Amino acid sequence: MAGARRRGGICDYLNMKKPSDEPWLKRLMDNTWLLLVLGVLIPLLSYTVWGWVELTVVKPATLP
Amino acid sequence: MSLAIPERGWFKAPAGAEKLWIGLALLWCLVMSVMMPFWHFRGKQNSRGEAYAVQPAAFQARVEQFAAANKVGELAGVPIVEPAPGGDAYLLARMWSWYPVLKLRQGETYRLHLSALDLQHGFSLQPLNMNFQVLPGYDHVLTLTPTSKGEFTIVCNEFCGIGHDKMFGKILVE
Amino acid sequence: MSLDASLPLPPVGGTPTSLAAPGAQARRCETTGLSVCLAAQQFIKLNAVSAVVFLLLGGIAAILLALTRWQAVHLLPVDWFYRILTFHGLNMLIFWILFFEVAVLYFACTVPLKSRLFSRKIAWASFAMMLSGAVMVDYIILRGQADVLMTSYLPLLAHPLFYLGIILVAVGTLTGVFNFFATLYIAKRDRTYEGSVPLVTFGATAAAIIAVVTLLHGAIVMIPTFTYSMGWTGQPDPMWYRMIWWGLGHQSQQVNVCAMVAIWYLIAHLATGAKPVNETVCRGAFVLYILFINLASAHHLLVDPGVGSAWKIWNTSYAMYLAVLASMIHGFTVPASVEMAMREKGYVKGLFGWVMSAPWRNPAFAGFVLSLVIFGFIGGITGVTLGTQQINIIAHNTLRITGHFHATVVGGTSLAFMAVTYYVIPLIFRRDFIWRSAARMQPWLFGIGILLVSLGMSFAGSLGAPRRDYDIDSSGAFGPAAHLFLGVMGVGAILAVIGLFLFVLLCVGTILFGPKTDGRAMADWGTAKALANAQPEAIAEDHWAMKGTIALTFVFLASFAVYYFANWKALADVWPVR
Repeated sequence: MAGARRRGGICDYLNMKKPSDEPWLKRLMDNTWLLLVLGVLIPLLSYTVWGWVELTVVKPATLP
Repeated sequence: MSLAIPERGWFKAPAGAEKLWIGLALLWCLVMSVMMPFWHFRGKQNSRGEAYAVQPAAFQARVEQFAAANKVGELAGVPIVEPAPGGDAYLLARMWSWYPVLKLRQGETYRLHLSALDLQHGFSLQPLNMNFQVLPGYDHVLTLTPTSKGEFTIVCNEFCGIGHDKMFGKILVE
Repeated sequence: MSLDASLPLPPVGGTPTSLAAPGAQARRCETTGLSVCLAAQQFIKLNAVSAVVFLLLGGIAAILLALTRWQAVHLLPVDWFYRILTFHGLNMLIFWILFFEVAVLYFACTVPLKSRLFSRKIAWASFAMMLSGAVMVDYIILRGQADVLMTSYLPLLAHPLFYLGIILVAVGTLTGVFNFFATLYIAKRDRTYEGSVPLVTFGATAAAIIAVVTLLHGAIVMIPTFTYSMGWTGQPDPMWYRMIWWGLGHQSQQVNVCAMVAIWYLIAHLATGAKPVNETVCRGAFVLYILFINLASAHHLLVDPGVGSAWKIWNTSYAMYLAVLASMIHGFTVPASVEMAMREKGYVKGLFGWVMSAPWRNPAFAGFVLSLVIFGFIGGITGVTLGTQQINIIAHNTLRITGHFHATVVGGTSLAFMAVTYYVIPLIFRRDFIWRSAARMQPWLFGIGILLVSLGMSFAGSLGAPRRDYDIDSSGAFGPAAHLFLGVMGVGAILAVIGLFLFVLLCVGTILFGPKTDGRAMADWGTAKALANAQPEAIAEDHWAMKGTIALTFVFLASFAVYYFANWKALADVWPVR
């Protein structure tokens, strides 16, 4: 790639692989920000929000 | 190597032994994934977390009423209370005792209501080693069937202050 | 390379991002040839030294506690037992671990990416908050105004400084994590490297992402609890507190897992030249961690009221055990990388010839292997088993739980951190270790000690012995067998704490008096050397070459299955309950 850079921007563009050619898993692994978003969102929804909802719908005791 | 930038073509599918291991491990994970739901429907020991919101004072009043109505004796100053077979039983955890002593019949199923007056406590039935969490504000209901006779000790296994290790109760099963 | 990468930007504010550029504030490591950012180096040192100080404090607490739970000794009085227990939990599980992890993060975002650290000022702010928070917490505990144990479960209430201190530590760590992500950003923006990040950096990124989740939960739970302790707001619901607290408490340990696994790969590489057999597999495992490992905080709430079966089962299973799959994958890829490296160097005799010839005299290598085995066999297997909704009934709040996490956090993570220190001090502080014969013994002393601690606790717990309890004799429910195992725990603790004190002595002594390595490579602890008969290409092509690892993982799977089903059987013997 060093050679491409010396010749300038156009050759850079032509020589680069298009993102859509890469497998989605590789793109995910290379995307720190997406991993951060998913890594925060999934546990927040599955553990925290769902758990919070479970606790808010606890019914009052009848103590038979 | 793990400290260096990986080579350009690093993304590739697993092969050989690695692939076999991933397959076996995944299979094992699927087996484990099935166990809990299986036991939920077919197993006899489950922790469903059945609970209701309660004011500690209201729960205490209910326990006193239960004890007064079903008292059959005393053990070291604590009332022995025998709930109706198949009925509701109440147990109150407080710093640092379990109230009352329950007398249950082997083979009968009871709805045991557990709650605390003050702090969190741990219901730990020995020597069976059955453990459940008890919180103030929550009526934690366990649908319980004693299948063995004897004198069982309730140890508190959630830290509740300086007298924590001296907090124990009894369940008698005949 | 991504299409949107712009041409390299000129440096902002004078200092170039790339460590290879002129004017970069870096030095070249004489051992590895890598460039080291001087700012990162400074903060690695500060955080690592702080970590070891808190390890020492936690270790003193450990031996006091062990000699109290070993009731034949029963050292501390009852109030100091719970006080020191609070102290031990926080200093070990939070302060030692988090300071060390910040040091790992600063390394992983700079050296492998040839980038400078994003901001010194932010690093100072992070360090100041973490240190002042930790000191605040330790102070208020020792004053007897926070006898609430590490979990501080409401309605137990501590002095407001306790909560404020923890908030400071959490915010400070989050600041350090921000510095890590910002460094990743400028490294990519300014193209200090081309392609994907190295595996160690990827593992550190997983740790950092999980740290964000952890610390978010810390803020959500600690802020209202602090305001309650000040009398400004009402009491948060105790069940809600438990759920959110464990979002901080367990997930902080999952940060540890990622850091530990990243360190395993690092040590394997430094000691044997190991490289991942398949980067995709290793990274895929880290991705599974990122997405699913945090769900398992639910396993602290399995016998709690209020949260139902579906929530418990789904979350405690790490989403159908996908995160456990990740651990099992690392359990193969890490030893496999070592085995392949050794076989490629010519150590091809039989199934385990490569094991016998591995650099066992290297304390980093020995510590790494002990960490792997203890974490995997003891910690992992017990953890997954105890973390099932139903089996938890016969384990919750017993010493089985403490037996499990002493295998994972201490035998696993802490031992791995100690092991990597045998490289960190020569490479970052640039001093060779003093008293090298003692250093070679230290991981064994600590590892075997902690193994006995874990086993003693686990067996006592199986007999019903409660955790966090001053005296199991009060109730009359436990007999001599429980005491025997508490004794085993006590003996193991003595060994482990000697190993811990030795580690601290070696670190302090080396930093102060160790021979400087300026201008030369560090003294070699023992690295596997290539033999004359080595046929690396042939081995590397063979996807079944790692026969020893295959055998070991089969033994692991068999052990797992046996332990797992034995516990279901034990559960079936107790009273029906639902």
